[in-house]
Amino acid sequence: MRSGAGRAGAVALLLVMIAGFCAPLLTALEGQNPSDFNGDLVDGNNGGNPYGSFGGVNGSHWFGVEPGTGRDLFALVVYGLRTTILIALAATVVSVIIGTAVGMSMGYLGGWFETVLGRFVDFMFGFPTLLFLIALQLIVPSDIPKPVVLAVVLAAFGWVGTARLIHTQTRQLAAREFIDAARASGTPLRRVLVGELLPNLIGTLAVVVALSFPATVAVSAGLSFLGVGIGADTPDLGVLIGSSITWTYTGADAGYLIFPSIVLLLIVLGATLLGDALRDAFDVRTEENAR
Amino acid sequence: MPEPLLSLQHVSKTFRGRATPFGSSEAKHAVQDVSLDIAPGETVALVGESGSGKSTLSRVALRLTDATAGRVLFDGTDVTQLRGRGLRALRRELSVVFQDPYTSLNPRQTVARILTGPLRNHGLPRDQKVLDELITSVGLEPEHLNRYPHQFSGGQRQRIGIARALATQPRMIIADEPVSALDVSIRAQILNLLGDLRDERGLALLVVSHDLAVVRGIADRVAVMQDGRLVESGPVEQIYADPKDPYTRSLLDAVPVPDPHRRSRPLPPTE
Ligand SMILES: Nc1ncnc2c1ncn2[C@@H]1O[C@H](COP(=O)(O)OP(=O)(O)OP(=O)(O)O)[C@@H](O)[C@H]1O
Ligand SMILES: [Mg+2]
Repeated sequence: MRSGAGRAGAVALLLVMIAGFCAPLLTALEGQNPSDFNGDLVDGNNGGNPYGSFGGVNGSHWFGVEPGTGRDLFALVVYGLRTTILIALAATVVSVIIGTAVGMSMGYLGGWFETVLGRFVDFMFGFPTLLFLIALQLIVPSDIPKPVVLAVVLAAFGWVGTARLIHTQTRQLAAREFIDAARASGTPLRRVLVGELLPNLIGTLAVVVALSFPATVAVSAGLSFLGVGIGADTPDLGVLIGSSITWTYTGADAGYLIFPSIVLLLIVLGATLLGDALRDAFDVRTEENAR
Repeated sequence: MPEPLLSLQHVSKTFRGRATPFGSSEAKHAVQDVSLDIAPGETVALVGESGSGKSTLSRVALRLTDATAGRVLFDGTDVTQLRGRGLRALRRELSVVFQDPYTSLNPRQTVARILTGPLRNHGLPRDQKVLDELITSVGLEPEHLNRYPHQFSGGQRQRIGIARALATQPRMIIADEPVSALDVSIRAQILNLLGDLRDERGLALLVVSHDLAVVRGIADRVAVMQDGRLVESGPVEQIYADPKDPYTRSLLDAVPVPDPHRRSRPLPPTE
């Protein structure tokens, strides 16, 4: 039952990921691309709403078209998916590496190092991240690509949770006698960390990646939604959902809102189900299920 | 009197109390002014009840923790202040066997990998022949090398721990309660293995135990600890026949007299 949900999550996540990475292929298959404006598919007399039912869904426009511009929505969604996944993946990988390095060194070295770094981690944990992210996005020079800025910023704040979890786990592991045995036989520090401790953290790291990926997707989409993440020129799920809400308020067909939202939901839900299943399988205590 | 291989001189270890907003908790004097020499090839039993500081003293000798006062000499060299590469000789020639065979082996490493570790640390040959010899010397088979610790029983794991301790061909082994986590029925096997290996290789041995009966057959000398202090030490038969210290006497009294009927008693019902 539990692993059934995990498996379903894994399948959903895998499908969505493949769709994102095969965006050019899929749109070629559909015979469209995300940058073509099709003024003839939208009704200028009806506020730019697409002709046809459910946002203009038909055989050549699988998800219909974007109101106003008439761009193909399927193409926008799969390209947007690719942007979203790449940003979240990069941010997750970087933040997990930083978090693991910080958490492991704190947990193993202990002493004043642990105390000082621990204070910093607590400070970062309580930091109003979202406000800071918004402010930072506004002051970063515009010649740096927005997706890169977003990934770096997400990573710079995302490592804190990982560091806390890995810190606790490392402390427990370091108290085990096999670590003392390794030290007593003269194992150098680097090899104790990489050869003895790290292999015992693999389960935890799988869980951390699986759970922080959807969280990062959600924050990144949220920022783009608020208009401070990705610019409107790059297809992105958050941007799509942000503008679709405005259109839906003004009476456009709900299709424009529903398709990108379902895809975002699939990523976040799929990864979360998978992460929860992994957590149960590896018996990892994360902050939320420890309470 | 030969020069001691390991010489602990006036060793003390105090654990600082935790600092809290209401002042710090009391410091713990785990080891106080203990001096103990172990000659090459000699077996010394370190006994004392739980919390008397045996493990702490062992960890100081192994340089896993720093003494707060006193010196540790190994083979005539003062190793008290050495770190990193300076400790190479000690790391190679002094090995350890821990109490709990479940936590003392890395669950993610095969037996081969576990045995290779110390060899690699000292740039020693670590081909198949070396590993086969190591594993058979503790009564296991070469095909066990590719297995993981969880595939073994407690006694077998302790054999793996002993093989790891032997890998670098040390001159001395410190065994901290090597059998107290094991099933009573296999304790003698493991102690005999340690004794045989010591005889074959001329090892010095420091065997820690809270149970005097366990070490009687293996030790040349007994050192008794109480509350962090060494209260008595002497040849094993003398300690058994004529304990000077009241604490040693009480430890001896606590040794159960073998009861021939005990084994035939029904086991308590399991839950
Ligand atoms: N890291 C530590 N921090 C604080 N106190 C410690 C620490 N390690 C040991 N102690 C304390 O030092 C005293 C001696 O502990 P030690 O483990 O050396 O005893 P032991 O004789 O090995 O006991 P046992 O038979 O239970 O293993 C104990 O009171 C213990 O609580
Ligand atoms: Mg102990």
